[in-house]
Amino acid sequence: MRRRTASRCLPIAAVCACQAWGEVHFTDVTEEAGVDFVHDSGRAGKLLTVEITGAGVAALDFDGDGRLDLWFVQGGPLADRASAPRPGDQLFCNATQDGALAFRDCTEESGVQALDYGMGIATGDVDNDGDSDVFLTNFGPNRLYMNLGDGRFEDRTAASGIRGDAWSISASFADIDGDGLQDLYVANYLRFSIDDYEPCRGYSSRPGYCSPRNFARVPDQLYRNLGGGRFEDVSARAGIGRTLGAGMGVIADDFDGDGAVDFYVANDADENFLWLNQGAGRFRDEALLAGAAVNGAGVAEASMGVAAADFDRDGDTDLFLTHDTQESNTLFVGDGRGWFEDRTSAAGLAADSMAHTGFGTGWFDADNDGDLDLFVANGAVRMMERQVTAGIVPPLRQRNQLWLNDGGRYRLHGGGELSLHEEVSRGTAFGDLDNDGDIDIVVANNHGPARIYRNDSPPRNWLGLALGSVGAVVWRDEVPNDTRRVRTDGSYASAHDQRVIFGLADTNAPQAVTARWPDGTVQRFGPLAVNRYHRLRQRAPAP
Amino acid sequence: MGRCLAIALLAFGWPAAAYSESTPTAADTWPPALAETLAAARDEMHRQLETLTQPAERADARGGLGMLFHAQDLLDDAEAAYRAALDESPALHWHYLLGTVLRDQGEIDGAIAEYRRALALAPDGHMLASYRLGVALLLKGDHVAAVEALREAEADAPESAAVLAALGDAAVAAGEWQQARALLERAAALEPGAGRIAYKLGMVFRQLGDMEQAGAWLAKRNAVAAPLVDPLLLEVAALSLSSKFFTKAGERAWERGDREEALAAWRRAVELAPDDVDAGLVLAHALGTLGNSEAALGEVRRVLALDDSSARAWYLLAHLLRVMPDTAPAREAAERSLSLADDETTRALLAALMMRGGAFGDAAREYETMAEKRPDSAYYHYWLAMARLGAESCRAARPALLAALRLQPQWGQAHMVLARADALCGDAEQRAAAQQRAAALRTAKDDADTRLTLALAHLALGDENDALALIRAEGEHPGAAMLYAALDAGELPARPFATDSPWWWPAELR
Repeated sequence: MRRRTASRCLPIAAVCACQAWGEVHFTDVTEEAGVDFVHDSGRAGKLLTVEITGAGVAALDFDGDGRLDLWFVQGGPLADRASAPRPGDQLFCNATQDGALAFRDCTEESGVQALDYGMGIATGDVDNDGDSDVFLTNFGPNRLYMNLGDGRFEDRTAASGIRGDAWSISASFADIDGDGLQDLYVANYLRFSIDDYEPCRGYSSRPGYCSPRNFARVPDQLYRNLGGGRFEDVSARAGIGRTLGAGMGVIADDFDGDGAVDFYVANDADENFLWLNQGAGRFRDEALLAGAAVNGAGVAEASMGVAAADFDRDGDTDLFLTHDTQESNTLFVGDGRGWFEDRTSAAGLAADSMAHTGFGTGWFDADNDGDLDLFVANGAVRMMERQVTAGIVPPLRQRNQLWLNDGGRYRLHGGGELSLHEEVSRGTAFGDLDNDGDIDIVVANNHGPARIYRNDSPPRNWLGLALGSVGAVVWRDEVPNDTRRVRTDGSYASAHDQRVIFGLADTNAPQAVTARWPDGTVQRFGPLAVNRYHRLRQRAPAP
Repeated sequence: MGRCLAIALLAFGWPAAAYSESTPTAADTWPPALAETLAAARDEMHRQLETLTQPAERADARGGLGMLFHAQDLLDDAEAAYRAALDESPALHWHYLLGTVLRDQGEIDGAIAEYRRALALAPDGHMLASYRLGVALLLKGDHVAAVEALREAEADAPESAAVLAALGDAAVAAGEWQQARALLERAAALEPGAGRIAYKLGMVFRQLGDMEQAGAWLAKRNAVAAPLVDPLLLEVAALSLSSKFFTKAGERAWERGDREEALAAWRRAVELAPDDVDAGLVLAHALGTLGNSEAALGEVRRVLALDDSSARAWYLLAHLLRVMPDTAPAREAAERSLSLADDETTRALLAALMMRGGAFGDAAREYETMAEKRPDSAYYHYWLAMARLGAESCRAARPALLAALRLQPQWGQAHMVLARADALCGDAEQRAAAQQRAAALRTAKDDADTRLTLALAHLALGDENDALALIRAEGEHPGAAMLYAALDAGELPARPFATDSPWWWPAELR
């Protein structure tokens, strides 16, 4: 966390990002951090829907050095892929020292050679060896990269049991059956053929990208982890494989409070799914009655990104979805019974989102004041007339948005340079890149450079917890309803830092915390000193 | 300092230079006719402005151009034109239209301001501006102010389902669930086909704990909104030169059950884009659905003359021809479609046409393909069995039937076919089981089909008297005739159903 100095900017213009946005401030440090990833959508004038869909990014500590590394998913040419040069994903190792964010490209040395037309990324410890493995979603067959634990990855797709060539975008690792192994949900998008594609015409009669309504929906996939890096496709048995959708985002959580992992799927221009875990490996979509299939007006929206957290600190999970222009983003407030109510307008999140098309998103405490703020990465999917006329390429550029939680009602905030660029933003990963106790943001832009936004907001007290166990839930004993789930999934096609940070504002007293581990056991820790990270380990079961 | 200046400039300007590319942009792709129309309209406005001196007339010239832009979804241009009109002479309708443009651009604060300005110029009120102001205020989360505006709208239009539904939304926002229920029930009574109101009622009843009512209302939900007649926006819409606009307008009309309006919109879409294959096919499909097969066939043939590589057009032709006595033309069209795009729906139609044409062996091959691709489809396994039975491959039909019943154990139709198949070609044990199955089916539903199934099972076991008693009761039924013939011949029929029985016709033919 670097304290901003107002003297760096002169008050020459109201739009000067450094000066006008109040206290919360993010700084674009992409260049100085040494990250030069540029996404290539493969656009070549055919206006293929697939070229505006990628791409994702992951913040993961793959080499176990305690610093978050970055994996950017690449696209590349869409025509003649077999013969054309393909740029491939890039992995950047975190080389930060003395607080100055620095990354170096370590793709080659890590054995990563991901040359598919990539969409998204999910991270999880597939083989329970204590490091992060990687699942890549593609326009084409997906890939599983196992972390060898020595700073290298190996493509183990062939032996993994991961099958199919559906167009997948997001995925989520979660233990669906309590066997201690991370299973895998893959959100598949549409059936799409480049060869058969013709651009669609918009209301202005110009050719444009075809909406998902022009293509057949496909079922998602659920894989059960068999151990040893092997998976079994249990989609049909689980009840998931027969339901068609246009999945873009997916997030795992215990939405009905029964202790089992459920999945929420954000479908594009279709009703969303709430797959409630029935036990015995079966799931049932309860989104409609739960009030989370469509918005409060009864309209199925173009859902892209998804976030889940207890933003109102009442002990249950709430949902936030990003949507197309002319639709608002949607806040579904959970009621603790697995039911949701659309409270978008009441929370102040509707009106200001309607001019934007949201993708990556997440709840996080931007200013460490103790409540959860919201970030949305925006970028249109329909060509914006003004940009077309001006010759802007791609003509889909929008600003990102940060909403600060102000006593349960959100207000739009510039966030410093966070909303400076007009770009076609898609995947977004959240994590403390410089280990200074606040969350930084990494945005993957479609057909453009990635951005790293360092959180330079004024320092507040914080408590960092590394539980190392996705699906664990933790709370401070002082505020038992303010729960945080350990996760890497959600947002859009991206994966996050799995550490938990509690913003404490001015509280600097040591904090007692309680963790509920995925197997249901509860364990108390502390009091723990503030303004540092603590590794919490699950007590071994009594012999 | 330099950095901040750059930030300020970037905030105002486009960072285009960094991303300029040589690939053609969509700017090169204006449809020429539309570009010419808009340019001519702009020129015409400038000519008018040279002679017009009255502010209201000048505003009309500028606003009229704005409406043309608005109709083409060129919202930035429309906004500029409406603002220019208002600079010439403030008027309710220009404020109102500017408000709708701003709303569509997501500028809700701006829209609210314009609706308020429109209302300030309407001493007797303006229902639509009040309604839209109320809805915009709801989006802002200000349900108290929204109710005030919506009550104004209600005063002008007490029987508007749209207004009542919006008031219901405001009540939901306030947590006034009983009030919401009353308002939404009134709205639903006025517009029973508006499924969005049904959804809202479902949620309200859920909140009130009445799960029975919640389920009932949710079952009625659909995508249809409460209608709102907006003369100004209709005037704008009429200026659209976009085929897509009318295609969508047709879809909305169709959803709410207004078939004539839908057809009119789709005809307009075809007029505007006669070479648009999709628009033509939408019209053809609608005409066919409404029973005007001749016009539908004419339209789909026109489309095929434009583009004979459209798999969908060939499919639609096959679909329209499927009821003709001669199945050959329909089959040919379906095969042509399938050669262009491997599509499950088309293959299912082709297989069905083969069934109807008596080409059971061909049909069996298609169903084998579909059952392999969709092993979880009981339907395809069932029809694979039927095709094999038609082809007199009775024993080969049994595994497919069992597969269908594994997937859908309670499927009575499949149980009946299995009983008949086992009667025809099963071993002694299977024939005995067939009789039990047939008797159970008759217990569940006593009709001609179950009685004749039992008769066939009796025949298979050599129990001719019991069979005859059941057959006699069916009189002229084709199935009875088939079994009489079998009795006369002294051998079981070759197939389980009479030749012209609708049992051989898959759902795709209906």
